Amino acid sequence: MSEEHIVKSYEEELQYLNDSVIKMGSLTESQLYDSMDAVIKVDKDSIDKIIKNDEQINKFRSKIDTQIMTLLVKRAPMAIDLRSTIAALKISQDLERIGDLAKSNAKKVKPLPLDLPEELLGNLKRLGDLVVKQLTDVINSYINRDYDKAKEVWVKDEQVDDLTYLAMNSVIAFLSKDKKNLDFSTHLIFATKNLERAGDHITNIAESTCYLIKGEYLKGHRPKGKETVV
Amino acid sequence: MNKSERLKQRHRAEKRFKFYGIASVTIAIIFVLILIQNIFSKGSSAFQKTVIKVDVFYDSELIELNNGATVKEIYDTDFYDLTIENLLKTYPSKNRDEEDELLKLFSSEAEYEIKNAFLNNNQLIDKTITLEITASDDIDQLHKGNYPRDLPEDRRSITDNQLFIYDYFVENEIINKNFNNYFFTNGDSRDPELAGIGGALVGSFYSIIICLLIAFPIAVLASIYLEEFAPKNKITDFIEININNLAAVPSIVYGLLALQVLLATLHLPRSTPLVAGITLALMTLPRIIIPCRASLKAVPPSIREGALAVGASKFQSVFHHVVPLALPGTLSGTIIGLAQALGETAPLILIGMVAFVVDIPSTPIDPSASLPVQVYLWSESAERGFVEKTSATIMILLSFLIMMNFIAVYLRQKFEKRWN
Amino acid sequence: MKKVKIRAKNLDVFYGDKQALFNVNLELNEKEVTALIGPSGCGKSTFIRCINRMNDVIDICKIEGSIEMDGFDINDKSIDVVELREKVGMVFQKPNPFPKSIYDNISYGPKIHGKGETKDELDEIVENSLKKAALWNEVKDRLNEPGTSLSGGQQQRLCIARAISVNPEVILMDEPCSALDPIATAKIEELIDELKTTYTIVIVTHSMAQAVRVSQKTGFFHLGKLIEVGKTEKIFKNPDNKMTQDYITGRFG
Repeated sequence: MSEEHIVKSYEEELQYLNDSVIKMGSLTESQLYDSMDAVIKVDKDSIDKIIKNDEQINKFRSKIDTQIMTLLVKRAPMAIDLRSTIAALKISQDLERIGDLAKSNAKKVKPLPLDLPEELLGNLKRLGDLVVKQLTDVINSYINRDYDKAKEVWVKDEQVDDLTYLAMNSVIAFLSKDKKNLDFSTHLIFATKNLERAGDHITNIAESTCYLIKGEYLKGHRPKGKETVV
Repeated sequence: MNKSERLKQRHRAEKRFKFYGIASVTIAIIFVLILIQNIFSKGSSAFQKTVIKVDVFYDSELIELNNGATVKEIYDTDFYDLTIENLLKTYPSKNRDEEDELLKLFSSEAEYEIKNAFLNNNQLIDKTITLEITASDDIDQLHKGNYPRDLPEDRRSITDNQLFIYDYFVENEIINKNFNNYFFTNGDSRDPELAGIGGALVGSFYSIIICLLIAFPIAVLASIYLEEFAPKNKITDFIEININNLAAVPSIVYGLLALQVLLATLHLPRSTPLVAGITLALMTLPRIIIPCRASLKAVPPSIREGALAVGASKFQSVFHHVVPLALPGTLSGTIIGLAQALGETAPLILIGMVAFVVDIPSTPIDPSASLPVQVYLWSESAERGFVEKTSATIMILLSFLIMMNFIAVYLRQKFEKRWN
Repeated sequence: MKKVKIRAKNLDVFYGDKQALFNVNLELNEKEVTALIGPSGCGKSTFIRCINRMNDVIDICKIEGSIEMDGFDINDKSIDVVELREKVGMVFQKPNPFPKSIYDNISYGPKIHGKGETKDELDEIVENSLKKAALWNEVKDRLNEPGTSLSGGQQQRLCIARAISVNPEVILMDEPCSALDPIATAKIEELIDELKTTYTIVIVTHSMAQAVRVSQKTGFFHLGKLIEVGKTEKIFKNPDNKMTQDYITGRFG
């Protein structure tokens, strides 16, 4: 029994789709990292670059959509091929959202002052690092079809929630210290929320990957950490 | 360069082959046309007979009958003297010898023809009517142009005087040609001008009917059994090989078989259509079985499966579905087999149908002749008159065969169209 | 929970020395469509022909194990195969209407089983069968025309009507659409959808998509063995056996 499709072009189409998702994931990874970096370092020069790169992610999304339509109409994929096609669709959707969130966060750097306190940025950085790591891990789990790793990412979402809670508290504490912080604090609040949402999308990707591999949905509720006030 | 040369070669080969095909067909057609022309030219004159006009006066002094006499009375009366009297009136003979020669110009049937006219109209006493009396065989052939007039008198059967009388008749338009009804109504006869195929026709007809009645049911049922029901093993293979062989056995062997079994052992009446029919049936059995089996084989298995799937038993699927589809092929095979049987001569000779039978048989157990044997018998006779009759009989036989073959082809086409 | 209509137990089928089916255990549920898929020569047609004992006509075919319908072994000596075929009808790959009129095609079965004695009874059976096969409107004005004068798709529906006319309980279909165009195929699939409420249907098909569309249960055969059987959705979304997956995704080498 061979591993490859009898029709080579079918095999190539599936492979190409897989590669497109991975490339899109890679791009999204670097976008997320760059935007986190920009926020922490308050680097206003990199904003334009990040915004521009987001176009690439959107282009990938369209390309993947077209590939999937073609695959469905041409091949009527079954079993694992069907699951991997649908997974590609869902994952690309989630990656695009993550890209949008990264772009949104980059935009928020503009109005930030250059002298933000360490402890404020610290919690944010820890949150950002975790989210970036989650994305890297989940993409790797997709590349290697590693069920356990994907499940790990899914479980770790609880930590993301916890860190979000901490980061959010820092921002609110900072806000309440001085009324003139209100302006950029709201930006920071949204930036934090964006990271949490990115984490949810990453969890979605983990679920899609698990279903792709095992053909069953992950049982039980998503692990949830502390609820934030906002 | 090579390629176009090869192409030209191929086209040339095709043209050559076409030419050979057309040439062979043309040669075959030419032979057939020669045969037909030969037969027709010899045989068409048999359908006419020469007649001589005679004014017949039913002299009451020469026959003891009154007007209104009954059929029996007429039959019992002797018309000989009346006949002689009237025939001699046709030409003034000078002496007794000439009178004898004049009488010989007429067929021996003359007396009966005159009597027959009275049978048809018994009010003719002392009245005169003009009858056309059949001429003798020599005059018949002379008038048809087949007689060697130029030979010296001692080498021919007609005397100079008779020739003179004949020319006189021709000049006075007393002599004529009519349709030869005797050819169809009479049986065989020593007199060629009176000989007919009536007996042979009826004999052949009875033979073929008996052949059909025996061969067809046995052959068809045997085919159905062998093809549909019998297990496929060495025994059935053996039977199939032997059936094919039997179809190729020379027909005279069947004659010998009939001679030994039917005539010597079973003491069936010789020379009868019954025996002929049985013999021909034995011969025709394999010739029906083979096309019947082929037709059965040709019925696609999907028909059988369709019937079985709906809950038909094997018997039902065979007789309701397979056999009707095999029928056209079987029928045309049967008709062709019968057509062959019609023309078989050798076995019939052996069972004695060479006997000289004058009467037309009324039942299949009366002795009779048959068409192909009649051809054989007449072809051996010396009289010139039989030559044309032989060819005419062949024409009749051939037209039957052609007609039967056409019917076979027509039936096959008609049924095949319906199936598809 | 559906009742089991037909149960094959440890079924082995031999053609002479060659074994065609190996220890097949398969249950077919009542009033449900079961699809049998697998590469050519894998034994699906052999299996289906065991159910109405069409293999009986092949001398060298031998059966070991059992096939039960409603609990009775159909190969038992006491079972009349003609009666069995009244209960189990079959539709073939190539439409094979009888070369008779449309009316006679349908009325033949009931007649030989003694189901319609008067002309009126037969007329009714013919009309009902043709209506159930979604063919009545197309042929009601030409019942005396030969069955072979219909188009391919109509002929196949005629064969289905013929199978229905004897009021069977099970209908076996051996690749019924493989000789038909897409529209005729769609009509037959629609018909199968309706028929499954009344009859138990087993369909052999080479089209994966068709199996998914029409069946509730699917069995995958390979080289005479039943590799996997289960709910159709599961087989085609997430089969348990790798061989099954390789076959349905086109990965067989």
